Amino acid sequence: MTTMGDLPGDLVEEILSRVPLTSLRAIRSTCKKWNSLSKNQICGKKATAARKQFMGFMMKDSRLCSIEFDLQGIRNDDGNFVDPSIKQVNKLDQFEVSQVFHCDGLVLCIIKDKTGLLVWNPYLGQTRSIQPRNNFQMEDRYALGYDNNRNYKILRIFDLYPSRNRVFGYEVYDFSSNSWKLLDVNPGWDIQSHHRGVSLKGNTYFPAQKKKTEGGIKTTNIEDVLLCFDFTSERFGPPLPLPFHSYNAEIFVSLSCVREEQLAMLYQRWEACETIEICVTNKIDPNTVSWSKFLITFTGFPVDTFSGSFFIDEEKKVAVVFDLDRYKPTETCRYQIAHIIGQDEYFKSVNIGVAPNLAISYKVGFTPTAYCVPLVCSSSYVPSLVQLQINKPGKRKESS
Amino acid sequence: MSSNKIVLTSSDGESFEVEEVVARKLQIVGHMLEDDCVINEIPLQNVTGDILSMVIEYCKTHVDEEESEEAQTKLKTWDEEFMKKFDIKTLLQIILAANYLNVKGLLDLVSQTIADTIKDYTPEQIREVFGVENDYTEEEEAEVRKENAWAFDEADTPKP
Repeated sequence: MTTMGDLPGDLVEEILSRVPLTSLRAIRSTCKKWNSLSKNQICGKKATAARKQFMGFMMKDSRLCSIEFDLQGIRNDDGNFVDPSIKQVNKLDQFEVSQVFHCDGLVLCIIKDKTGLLVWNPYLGQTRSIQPRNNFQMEDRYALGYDNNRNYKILRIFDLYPSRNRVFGYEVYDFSSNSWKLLDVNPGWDIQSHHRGVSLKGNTYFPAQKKKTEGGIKTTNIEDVLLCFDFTSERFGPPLPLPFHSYNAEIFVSLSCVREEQLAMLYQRWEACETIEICVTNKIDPNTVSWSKFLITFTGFPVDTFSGSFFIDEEKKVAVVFDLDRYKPTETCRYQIAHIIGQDEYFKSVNIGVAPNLAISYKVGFTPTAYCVPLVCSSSYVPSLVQLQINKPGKRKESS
Repeated sequence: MSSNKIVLTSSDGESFEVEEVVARKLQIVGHMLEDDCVINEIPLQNVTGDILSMVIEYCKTHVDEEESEEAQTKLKTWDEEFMKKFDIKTLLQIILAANYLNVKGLLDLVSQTIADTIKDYTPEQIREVFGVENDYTEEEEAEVRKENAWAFDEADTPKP
C-alpha cells in the first residue's frame, strides 16, 4: 500500500506548506523526517491568508508567552466566544523578562535583571543571548529591526548622563557581526523610557518630545512627534506629525502595527481620560505619515501609563487593549484584562488572570502595591527561517 | 489545426486514446511532443492504468481553463467533488502520479486536500491514517512536544 513514506521529501514539503501553523506541533511530533522538513521551509506559509485569529507573543507575569486570540465569536449572542489561549514558553521559563518585542518572526526579550538580552526564533527553536558592551540599565529603550539586506539589528537608547537635562546614548547591535556599535546621532528629540517603539517593515517608530534645554525644566511649545529609526541608514528620520496636538508628552500614547502595513496609535487625553481614541495610518514610511480615525470610545477608565499595549483586528473592527482592571481600594486582588473595544461601541472585558501584588510590605498596616502589567506585541506572528546561531568554524549545523 | 490523437500507455499495459490538447496537460508528454512531433503512442512507466485514468479525467475537465469567474467557480466545485471520491491511499498514488507526469494543477489540488486532512489530526491519527512510522523514542517525542509547546494550537485536541 502507498504511504506517506513513499513520497519524496519535496512532495511532503509541498503538503506541509499548506497545513496551517496551528498544526505545527502535531506535524513535528509525528516523526523525525517531518520535524526536520518543517524546519527547511515554513509550514503554513500557503495557509497564512486564511488565518482567522490573532497569533502573537506577549509578556505576562514577567514571562514570555504565546497568545492566540480568536475574535470570530465576539458578537455572537449564543456564547461562542472563546477565551484567548495564553501559554508560557517553557523553553525560556527560567528567564524573567520585563519587555518583549516582535519583529518579523524574531522575539527580543529584555531580561528583567538587566544581565542580557535574549533573541528567540520560535519556529527554529533557536536562541541567541546578547551581552552588553558594558552594562544594561533600567531605563534603556530597545527596538528590533532589520536593514535592506534583511540583516537584523537591535537599537538601544540609554541615558548617558541621567539627570534632568538628559543626554542619551545610541548604540546598535548587529546580528551578523555579533557586536555593539555606538552611533553618532543626536536627533534633538527625547524618547521616554515608558514609550515602546513598534517595528514596521524593519524600521521602528517611537513617540518623541522636543528635547528640553536650559536646565531641563523649561517646557517647550513644540509639538510631540513620531520618530522613525531607519535600521538601514542607522539614523532617525525627520519628525512626523501625530494624529493630535500634544506638548511635553501630556497625552498618553501607545503604538501598534496592523498587518505589517500600518501603524496604529492609541491615545488618551488627561482631560478626558475615560475615553480612548485610536488612529491608524493611511500612509507611513520613515519620511511621511498620514492618519485617519479608527475609533473613539468612552470606556469609563484611564489606561495605566505603563500599560495599554494593543492590537487591532480590521475585519472585526475592534481593538484589543491589555491593561490591569481598575484599582479598587476595597479589593485585595487585581486582574489582568484584555478589553475588546469595537468601532460600534462593542465592549467586552476578558479576564486573563490574576495580577499578583509584587510589592513587599515592610510596615505593618501599610500595603504597598506593584503589579506586572501585561504587554502584547501587536504584530501577528509569521514564522521566520533566520538562523540565530553564531557560526563558529568547524561547528556542525544543529541536527534535530 | 485538426485535433491529433495520442495514445498513453500505463505501466500495466492499459492504453488511453486522448486528444493532444489533453495529453499536453501532462507536461512530461508536452516535452516529449516538443522534442519529436511524430510520436503518437507514449508509454508511461511509473503510473498504473487506474491512476492514469483519474489523471486524464482531471486533465479533460481542465483542458480549457476559462478566465471567467463563473467558469472558475464551476471548476472549483468539480475539483472538490472529484477529490471526495478518493481515500487517502489513492490520493497518495495520485499525487505521486501528478508529480511524475508533471500536472501542476492536480499536484496543488491533491496537496491541499491532504493538508486539509492533516490539519485536523493529532500526531497519532496522522501516523495511523498516512502510514507514517513513529521513529521517536518516548523521551525524544516528549522533548519535541515541549520544544513546540508555545505553538498556536489550542484546538489540538482530537477532533471527531
